[in-house]
Amino acid sequence: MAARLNIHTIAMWLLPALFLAVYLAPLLGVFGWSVSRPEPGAENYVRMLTDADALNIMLRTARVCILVTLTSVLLAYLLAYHWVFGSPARKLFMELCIFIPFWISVLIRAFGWVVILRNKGILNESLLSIGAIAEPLTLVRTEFSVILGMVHFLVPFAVFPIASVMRQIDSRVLLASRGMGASPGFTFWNVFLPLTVPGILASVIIVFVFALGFFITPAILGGGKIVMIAEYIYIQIFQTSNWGFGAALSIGVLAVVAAMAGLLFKVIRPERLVK
Amino acid sequence: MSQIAASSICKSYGDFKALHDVSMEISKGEFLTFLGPSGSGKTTFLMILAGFTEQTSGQLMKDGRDISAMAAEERNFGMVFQGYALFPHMTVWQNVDYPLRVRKMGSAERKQKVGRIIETVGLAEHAHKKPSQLSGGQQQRVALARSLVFQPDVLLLDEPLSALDRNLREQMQSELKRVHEETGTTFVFVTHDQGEALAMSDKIAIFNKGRLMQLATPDHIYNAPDSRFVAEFLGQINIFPVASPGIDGGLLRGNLDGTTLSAANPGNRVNGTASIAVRPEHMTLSAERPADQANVLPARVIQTTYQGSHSDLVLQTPQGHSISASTHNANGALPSVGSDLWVGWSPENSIVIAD
Repeated sequence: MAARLNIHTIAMWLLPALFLAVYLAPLLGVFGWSVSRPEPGAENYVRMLTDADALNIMLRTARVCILVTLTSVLLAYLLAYHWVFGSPARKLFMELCIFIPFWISVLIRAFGWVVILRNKGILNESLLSIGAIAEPLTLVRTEFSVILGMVHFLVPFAVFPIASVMRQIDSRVLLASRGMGASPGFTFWNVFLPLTVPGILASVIIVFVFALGFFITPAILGGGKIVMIAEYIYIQIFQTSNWGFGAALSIGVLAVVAAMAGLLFKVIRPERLVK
Repeated sequence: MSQIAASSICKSYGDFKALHDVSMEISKGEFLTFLGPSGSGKTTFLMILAGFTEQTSGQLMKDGRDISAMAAEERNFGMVFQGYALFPHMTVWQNVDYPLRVRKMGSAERKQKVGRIIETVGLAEHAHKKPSQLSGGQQQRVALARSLVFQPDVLLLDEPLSALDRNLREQMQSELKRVHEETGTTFVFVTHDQGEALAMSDKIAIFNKGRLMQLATPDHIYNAPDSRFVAEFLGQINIFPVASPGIDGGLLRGNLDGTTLSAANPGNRVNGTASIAVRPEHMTLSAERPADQANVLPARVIQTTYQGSHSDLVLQTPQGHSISASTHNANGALPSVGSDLWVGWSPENSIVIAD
């Protein structure tokens, strides 16, 4: 009995110990840097909230993340609708559209967009050849290309929570609405949409949190011109050796992500929103 | 004039014929029940009436107008679904208000109508609750209120009581009848429960294998079923196949194991073979061969089941025919198992079934 209890005790503590070793300890270290380098104090946090460069990058990150989230969730809603309610052929097509990008590496996808969008890329060359434009359009290294690449990556993640909520809708509820004389539009706005709100909120939070930490896509498609917070932190740590400031920025992002994750845990219990 | 007239409605799913040539008329204010086993087509026919399913062929009229191709949204029929299909994100009040909002009714009028119908179904103190906070019976009442508040021409009910336990079901049956009388709306009710059908309906339509077998009052269906299926589906019945049937002096006579049985009202449906059917409660039991009964068979008691007000007996004739009989316990002591006695019934209580 005592021996079994010991094994159980060890097994029970294994995960928390791992968590302490690989998460909490380094995290405390990062927090330590943020208040101790170059010298002790909250100076790094003050700089984060006053430095023009830092503020600009945070503002851009927020703007890009919000636009990416809205676009991704809207597209995901349409995809999910056709995936859940479409004919078998359309369902298969939607599955391909959702899963194939999902399986391709983020790096390849970002470079793929560069190939399409750059000045001598596929899109500009074809537009030039048909005479639709006289000069190549500047498409890479813009916020537009960053948003495009991020949306492309994030749409599948936004589809799953929305599709799962749509699948749970009792189709008789929609029939009942029709039977009472409601038009398809009235039924959508008053019954279907409200019933999918938990899925929409979950998607919004997942996409936003993901987008906030995006590094590769903005780095490649932004080409150093469109710097977002993750790349900015990377620069602080690996290039300019402002470890303390980089650490403070990391803690700031972490705080936002933690707040969003907390919200997510409330949201993924859909019955709370329905009740 | 009938309010709803369906003629030759057929519905096929590929090779499968869900409905064969169903025709019926429904009068205004009637409580009509569709009764049949599962897969008999009763729900399919209800869905065609509602406009949720399109018939393969046939015509549907409402008040003399052809509505065969009219969308469900425009028919102005109320519907109570199996499982109620309440809107989970709305309160009781909002659920009932929904069809009125669809009709863009003024808020004062809506408030008055919703309040009144919620009162009628006894949910006034639950108006602010969400469906998930209500019991099955209360949800049922919300569904009823929601489908009646806009004064539909016809209320369609798809097995609305099947999810409720027995006590609640009986309570809801009488409540449905009361609401039917108060509103005067035509009710079309689908069930597979015979007791429910007999207790509630003005008329019953019996469905089997996609066909309408018989449509008549409960009393007529029970006492004069015109097919073996209807006779057997509704309540207990003894069916004796008789040899060489013939009509003689207004009675159908036929031979069962050497005994002549007779039935009144033979109709003209007899050609070749026929059966004579008798309900268990019309059987009389006696120790001596009764002199005054036209139909008498000897039988031995095999089993007795005490049911309180009455008892059910299973007997067997010397030739092996099984007979069920039921006697009121007020009539005296129950015959003991193994005793031999005589079973008799009158020609008037015999039902002729053409095979």
